[in-house]
Amino acid sequence: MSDRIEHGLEGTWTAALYQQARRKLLIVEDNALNREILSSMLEDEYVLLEAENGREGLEMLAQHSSELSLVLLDVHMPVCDGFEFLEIAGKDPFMSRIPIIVTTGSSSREDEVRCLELGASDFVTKPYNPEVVRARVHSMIKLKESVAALSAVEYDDLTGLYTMSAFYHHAALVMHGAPGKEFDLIVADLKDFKLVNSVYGSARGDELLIHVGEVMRSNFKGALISRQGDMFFALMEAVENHEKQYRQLEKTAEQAAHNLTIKFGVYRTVDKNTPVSILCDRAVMAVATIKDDAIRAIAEYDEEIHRKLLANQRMEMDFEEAMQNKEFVVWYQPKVNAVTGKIIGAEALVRWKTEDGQMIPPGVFVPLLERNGRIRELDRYVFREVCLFQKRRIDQGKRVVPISVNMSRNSIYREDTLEIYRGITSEIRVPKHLVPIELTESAAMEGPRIIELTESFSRNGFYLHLDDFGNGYSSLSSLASMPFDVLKIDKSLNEHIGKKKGNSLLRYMVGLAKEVGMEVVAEGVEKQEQVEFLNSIGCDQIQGYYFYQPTDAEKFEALLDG
Amino acid sequence: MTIKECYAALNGNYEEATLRLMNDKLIERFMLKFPADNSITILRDAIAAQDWATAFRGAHTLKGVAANLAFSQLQADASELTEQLRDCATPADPALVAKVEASYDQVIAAIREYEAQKQ
Repeated sequence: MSDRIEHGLEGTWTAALYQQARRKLLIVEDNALNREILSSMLEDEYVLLEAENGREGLEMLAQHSSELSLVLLDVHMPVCDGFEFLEIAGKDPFMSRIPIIVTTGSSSREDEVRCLELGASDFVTKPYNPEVVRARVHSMIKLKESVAALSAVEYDDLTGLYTMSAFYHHAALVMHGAPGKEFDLIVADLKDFKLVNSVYGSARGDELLIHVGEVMRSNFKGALISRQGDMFFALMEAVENHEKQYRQLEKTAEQAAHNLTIKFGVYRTVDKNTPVSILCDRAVMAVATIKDDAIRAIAEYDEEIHRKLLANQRMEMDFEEAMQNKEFVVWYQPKVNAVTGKIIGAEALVRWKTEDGQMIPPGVFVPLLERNGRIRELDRYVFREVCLFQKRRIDQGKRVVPISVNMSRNSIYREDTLEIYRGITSEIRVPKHLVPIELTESAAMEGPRIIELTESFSRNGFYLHLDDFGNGYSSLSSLASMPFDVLKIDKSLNEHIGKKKGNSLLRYMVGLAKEVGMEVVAEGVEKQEQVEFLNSIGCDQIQGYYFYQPTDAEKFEALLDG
Repeated sequence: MTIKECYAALNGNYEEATLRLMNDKLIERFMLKFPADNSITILRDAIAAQDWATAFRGAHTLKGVAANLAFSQLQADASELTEQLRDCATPADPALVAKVEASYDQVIAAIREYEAQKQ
C-alpha cells in the first residue's frame, strides 16, 4: 500500500524524473554513417538502439515499447520506409504512445507534412544540427513525460480511483457546477487494515484495496471515488432515502469483507462552501466515533460529533498540564463489613477537577486516556498517591484499611508495570496488602499472558481484586486459573436480587468465590434488601451508596478516625 | 595535412563541419568512414539497373551524408541529381551523374591523401 505524492506538473516532478535514469532512444536509419553521426550527438545522454530499416525498426519498437522514450525515424529507407513505419506504429496502442521524430531532407516539405499527418510528433532536418537534434529530443521526451505525470497525478495507479488531490479538485468542480443540488460524502474505513498488511503481507493488502475499490465503484455508480491509504471517499448526490443508502453501505461492506471490518462515516448534504478536504475530515470524524464500537458500522456526522471531537482534543492537551497541576485528585469510597457496617476498606477513584473548577467525570476522560495510552500515567499517579496516603496514616499511628487501586488493561499488559509498582511500594515503604490492585474483568480476560502477569504480581506480594465480575466477560475458569484475592461483583447483578433466579445466581457466585478462597465485595449496593440479602449469602464487604458515597481524602480520614 | 586542409582539398566547409561534428577528432572519425559508405554504390547499381526509385534514394542518401559531413560540393551535386530523380521515373541525367562522380572522386582523393600523410 503506498501513499501517492502529488506535485504540480512543472519543474519538480518532471525534472526529478528526467534525472533518474538514462532514457532509451531508437534510431531508425538505413545509412550507417548517418546513424553513427546521429548517435554521436546523442550517445552521451541516452542509451541508443539502432535499426537499419523500417521493418527492423518496427520489430525493435514492438519489443522495447515499454522502455523507449522516443524514436528518430528516417523517411527514405528500403524495405518499409518512414511513412509505412508511421502507419503501422500508429495503429498499435503501445507503439503509438512513443513520440517519433522524423529526420527529413531539408528540401522535402511534403515529406514533413505527410509524416506529421501520419502521427509523427516532430521533425529534424538533415543535415543534423546537434543542438537542434538534442533540443527537439529533449523537449519531446519532457512533453511526453508531463502528460504521463498528469495521468499519474489524477489516478491512483493501484486502484484506478482518483488520488486525493484529483478528488478535491473534481469534487469541488462537480459541486459548484450544480448549484441546486446537494451532495453526500461517505468515507469507508478499513478497520485494522494495517494488521492485514502485517499478517498477510502487502501484496495481499494491495489486492484487498483493489477489491474494495471495485466494490465501491460498482455500488456507487456515478460517484466520485478516491482512495487515501486505507480509506475510501465517495462524493455522490444527496439521497432522500437514507434507509436505502444504509443498505447500500451494508452491501458494500459485505462484498468487500474478506475478514475485514469496514466502517462508514456519512456526511449528509455537505456544506458546499467548505473546502473538500475539510468535508472529508468531517466524514472521518464521524467514523472515528464508532471506531471501537462492536456493533455500529455506520455513523453520521453532525455538529455534536464535531463538538465532542474538539472537546476530546482539548482534553488530550489539557491532560499534560492537569497532571502537573495536580488537577487529578483521589477520592475514596469506603467498603463496609456486611454485618457490622464498619468501614473495613475503600476503593480509590480518580476525579479530574480543572483549574476553573469544572469536574470532569471519569466516564469521559478514562476512555480517552485508554485510547491514547496515557491511562498508564494516571494509574501510576493514583497508586502513588494512595501509597503516600497510607504511609502518612501509618506514620501518624492512625487506623489503616486496605485501599484498592484500579489498574487499566494498558498497564497490566506492560512489561515494566510490575517493576514500577514494586519500586513505588518499596520507595514509600508501604505494605502491599494495604494497596491491593483492582483489575476489571475485561482487563483480565483470560489468556496465557494475563495468567502469567497476574501470577508474577501475586508472587511479588501484591494482592489482586477482580472487579466488575458478572458483567459481560465473565469467565468462571479465570477464578481458578488466576490468583485473585478478592472478587467484586458487578453492580448490575444487584438488580436480580429479590428474584428467584437472581438470588440463586448470586448465592452460588458468592459460594463459589469463597470455595476457591476469595473474599467477596458487592459493589453499587443501594438498597436495604440488597444489603440484607448479600449479608445472608456470605458477602464479606459491601461498597455502595447505601453506606457511603465516594468522598475526598479529608472526609474519608474523618470517617476512619470517627 | 590538417583536417582543415583536407576539407579545402575536397571542397568542403570545415567551419560547418565543426558546427555539426563538434571537434576534429569526431570529424576525422567520420571522414575516414566516408569511403566505406555505400550510398554511392546504391546509386551506381541503381543507375546501371535503371531502377530510378532506388537511384533517387541513393542520391538522396548520398546528399544527406555529404551534408552531415559538410562536403559542400558533393552535397550540392548530389542534391541536384536528387531533385532530377525525385519523380522516380525519369532516367538519371548523365551530366548530373558525372558531376556527382567527379566531386565524389575529389572527396575520396583528399581523404586518401590525408590518411597517407597521417602514417
